[in-house]
Amino acid sequence: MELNMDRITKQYGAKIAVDRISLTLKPGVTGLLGANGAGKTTLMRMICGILRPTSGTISLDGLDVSTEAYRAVLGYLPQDFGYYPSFTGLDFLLYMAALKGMERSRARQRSLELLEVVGLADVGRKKIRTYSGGMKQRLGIAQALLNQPKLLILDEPTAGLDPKERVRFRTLIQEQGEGSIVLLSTHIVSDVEHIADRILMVRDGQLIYDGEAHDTPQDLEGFYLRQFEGGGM
Amino acid sequence: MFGTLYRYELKKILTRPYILLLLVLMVGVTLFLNVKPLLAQEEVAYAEEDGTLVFDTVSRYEAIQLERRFSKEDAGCLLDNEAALEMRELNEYYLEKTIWPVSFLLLNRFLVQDAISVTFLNPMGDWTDQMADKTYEAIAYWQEEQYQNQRLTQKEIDYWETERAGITTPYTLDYAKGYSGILSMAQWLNLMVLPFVFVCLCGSFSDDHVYKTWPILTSSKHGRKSLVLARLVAGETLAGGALLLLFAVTAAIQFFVHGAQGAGVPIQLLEVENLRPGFGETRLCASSRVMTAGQGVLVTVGVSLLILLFAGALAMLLSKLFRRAIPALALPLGLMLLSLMFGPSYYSRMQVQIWSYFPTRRISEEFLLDERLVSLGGIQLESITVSAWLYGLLAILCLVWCFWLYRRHVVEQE
Repeated sequence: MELNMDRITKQYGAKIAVDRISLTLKPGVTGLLGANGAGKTTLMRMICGILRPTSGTISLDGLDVSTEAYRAVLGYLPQDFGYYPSFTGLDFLLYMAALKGMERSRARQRSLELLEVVGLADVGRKKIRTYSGGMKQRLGIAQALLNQPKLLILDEPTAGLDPKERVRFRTLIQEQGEGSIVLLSTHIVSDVEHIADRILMVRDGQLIYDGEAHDTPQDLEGFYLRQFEGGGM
Repeated sequence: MFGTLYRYELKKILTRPYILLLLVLMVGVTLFLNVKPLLAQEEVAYAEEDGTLVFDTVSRYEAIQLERRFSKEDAGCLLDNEAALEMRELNEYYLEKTIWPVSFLLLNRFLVQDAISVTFLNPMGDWTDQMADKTYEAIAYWQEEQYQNQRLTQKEIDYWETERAGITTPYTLDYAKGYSGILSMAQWLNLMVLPFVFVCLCGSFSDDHVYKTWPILTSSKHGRKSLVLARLVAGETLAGGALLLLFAVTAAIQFFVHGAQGAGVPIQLLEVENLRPGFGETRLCASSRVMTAGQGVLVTVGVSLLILLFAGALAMLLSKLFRRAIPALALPLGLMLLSLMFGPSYYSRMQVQIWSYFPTRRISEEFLLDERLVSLGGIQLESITVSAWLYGLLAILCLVWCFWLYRRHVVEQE
């Protein structure tokens, strides 16, 4: 299983948000580090097929990003996760499961299972508007995992999570990374340093570092900061 | 999967707290409008089987039950000179017999005297023994008067003369007040459901942007086609369902009070009450249509439904176009209010005719009296046919446009 990106570029007028990024991702967790505005979200939205690249192609095992088959194996947690406040947590997952094409009985079983996994089982039947920020974020993670995606894209997934929740989340992602391609973007180094198999760094839309986790210096935080010296961080 | 999406899309609309409140309010107003007239007091006079003359002051509901009781005797009879004469003689007999100081009409031959009354003739007029013939002449007079009122062209008059020739006389009598009651309510039901639909559906697509759900929707397997289809169907279900619910409530009350008999009565014998205070009822005797009361109700409900389906489709399209609920609500609501407040110059038939097709104007007490034809490629089309096609096509156009817009914007270009 491979996610191929070939010279992906996204240009907004004179500004180049993503500049000719070519990558091949394999199963495992890949951490995407970069400052705010570095182009992480733009890249992830293109990988999810909701933003058209100015040039370049994206495919998963030969499936183009624009196809339904590609979206069928995709799980996505956007940076700014949205929900319908009048839905309960369970309703929202069942709704998302229908959107992902899951059968009703399987959808219910998987939704209840995920509510348990993300620690929302007790509040699954309460309206999302009553949830705290962290609970909403956990619900977002649950919806991304519903269809057991082969390609999981997580944009700043730990935002709003408390330290305990972060640890639980890392374990969950590590498990997910065993059979799927997981791309996790963050600007917090500690989010990825223990779980990522591969580290990518972007600055001004360009890929400035691509290395296996074991090749990455021990002091990832310091190494990361050095990459951005003078880069406007 | 489509069923689940459809159910949740419907739930999304209905779980907004004010939507259920509005729905309950509309049902409440419908009940009020249907029930309020039944509480009025009315004086009635009738002769019992043993010949006793009864005068009484009863509620409108009780008066209706008496009308129904006496109508059973005449149901299925023809409106002919013999029946008219019998009715007059019966009334004259009791008028002479009583010392009651005011004139009255007995409920005993209610259907006969009611059928004559709708033509503005006095059922007790003793200037002729051929009162039924005079009634048919009066109907013909009002039908021709209607040609003048609506400024029909000679071609249109010829069309309606041919149509009118198909009306079977003498009329077969029956008690059809349940149907005229539904027709009286039609405009108000439309006027209530129209803004309700705009309020319910103005956020149907813009909510994805307000709640920022569109990235997870459009990146999911069925988020680009099935979702939009389910949403459009759910919106239309709500629009049509709300209207049908109010018509069902109205029909249930009207048929409970008046009974469901009389579907086959020609519409020329119906009176459509105007619920606005100070406005008189509309008498459909001026219509040249070959149509029964039941058909009249079906046509009115059908065209109302198409108008509401169009309104629902328009609300969803505007929600997609503007990506904001407020302008998507303000625009159709503003146009609706303006169309109620202003009208075109009475002297321009074309302006008046075009104006009459506006959603707030189309279903009025005079809807079935509209005999102005629309010429399309040499074919003369009736107002009902034009209304059905117009609103049906507009609804489809809005739905297709909305679907296309959604699919087009599903992947951001910028």
